[in-house]
Amino acid sequence: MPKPQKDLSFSVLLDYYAPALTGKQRDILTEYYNEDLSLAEIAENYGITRQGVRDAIKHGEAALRTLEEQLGIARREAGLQAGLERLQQLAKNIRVYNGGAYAADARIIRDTDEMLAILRRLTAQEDAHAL
Amino acid sequence: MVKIRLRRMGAKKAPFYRVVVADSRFARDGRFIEEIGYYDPTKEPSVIKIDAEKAKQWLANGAQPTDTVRGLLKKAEIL
Repeated sequence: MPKPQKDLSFSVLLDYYAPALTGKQRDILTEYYNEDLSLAEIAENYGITRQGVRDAIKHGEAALRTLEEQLGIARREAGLQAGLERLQQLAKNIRVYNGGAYAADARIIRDTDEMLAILRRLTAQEDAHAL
Repeated sequence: MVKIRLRRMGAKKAPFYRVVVADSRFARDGRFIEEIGYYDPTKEPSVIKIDAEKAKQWLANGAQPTDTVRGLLKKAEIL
């Protein structure tokens, strides 16, 4: 039986909710998920037992799961991002259709320009919370 | 001990992992010896790109992959 894999999706939840965790939970979860350290290595770094590290990770994961259930920020942002990308694609499609058989309508060009500019700004804002 | 592990790069909503060879004594400061590939779970299906030659070389020299990396190596059919 292979050992269960680390569930890397906690790494994404950690991005959103790290400030809501205790300092130690945050540090230990970061080392475990983002640096891929083993329990033994983390235990050595903090001078605690492996069991202690495991407990801290389990508590931290439970906290992340509860936060996501109650606030759903990660879920909502994922949906939002997908929607923004789709809108961007649709706006680009409209511009292509507009450049078809007939003379392009200047108003459609102007409005889709504005749409794309807004979408670019919103996408950039989302990305601005980068690590 | 020399380990093969993942190291997260990328942005908030876009995790991206490098597969690196690192000395476990330097676990804390993030120093690593060599980068041998990457893993991008945001793509569908996720992209695993690992230099098989280097990976085998390091494994033969006694480097220990973490469980996560071991899983990736298996998926990439290096192990």
